[in-house]
Amino acid sequence: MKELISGILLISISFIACSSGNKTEPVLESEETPVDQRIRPAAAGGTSAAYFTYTNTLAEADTIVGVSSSIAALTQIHETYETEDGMMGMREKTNIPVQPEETVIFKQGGLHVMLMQLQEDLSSGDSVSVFLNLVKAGEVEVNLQVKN
Amino acid sequence: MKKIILILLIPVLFLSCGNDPDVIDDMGDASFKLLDQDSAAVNFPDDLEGKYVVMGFIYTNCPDICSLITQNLIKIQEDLNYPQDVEFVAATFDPVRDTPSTLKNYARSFGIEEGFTFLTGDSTQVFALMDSARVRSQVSMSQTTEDGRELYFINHSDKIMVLNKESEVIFEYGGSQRVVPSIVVEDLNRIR
Repeated sequence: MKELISGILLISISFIACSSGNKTEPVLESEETPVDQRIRPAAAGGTSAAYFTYTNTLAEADTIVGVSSSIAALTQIHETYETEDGMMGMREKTNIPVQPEETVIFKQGGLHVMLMQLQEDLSSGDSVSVFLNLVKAGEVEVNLQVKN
Repeated sequence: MKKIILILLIPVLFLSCGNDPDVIDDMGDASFKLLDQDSAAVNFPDDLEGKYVVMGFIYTNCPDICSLITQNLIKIQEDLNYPQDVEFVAATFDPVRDTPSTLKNYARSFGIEEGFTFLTGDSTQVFALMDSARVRSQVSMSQTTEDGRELYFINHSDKIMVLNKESEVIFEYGGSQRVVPSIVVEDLNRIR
């Protein structure tokens, strides 16, 4: 009987070990992944994205209502999301509340600043400014290095 | 009797650990006439038969998720130490904007110089490829710049897949997931 049970256990383990299958399930990314503050390289006429963090240092709640940059024809805050039918998409975010001392994270796969129809090439090593527009704090400059 | 059962079960154990993954789809009978980033003609998958293919699906006006997919392809290539028997491919589902020269610029922005094939081409051929690979895409929102230029974005599948040397799809992954490169490398090392 012991041998039979051992055999069944052995086979069960083998199926667990070897049946990862051909399709991987989505894995949630860690919320603690550090943000690499940067803007992606891209060619003139193309699209780039900026990643950084913004912390509300005011004693009161604030709201991010927009973003601008002189290097792109259109600059917006976008959010990457999964559609109901399982596709990946982006949508514009126009009002982002920020509580006192709260940090808003702009990162790959989440909130990010989109720079569309770039006026010039963005090459690694370049430095670029984007400006967040907030209701209370006003215009806040964020200077970023271009890198992959 | 018990020993016989155990002996019979052992081969099952080994069979369950075989190196031949299930075939998800056979693309061997298909042929898509496409262009690479240098505007050279590519018959996909015929021209790549005899090699493993690690393939992602992107559009260059998507700097977020699609850049993660591209970065994952690069990471897989690096972690496999630039293998000669594996081809790395990124195919666009936005052929109107993603011309060969646009794809070339996109590759350059990632530091990709060689060992990668970016695919575009006539819309009919590109979308036939996407149907065959079960990659969905759909124009979502449109934007207009101050000088009147129209921009649009695309909702799309998030996929990297692996084809074996017979152009059969044997693995599919969530293309932008950060864990994907290590899984692909493990899977390829197991079957190569």
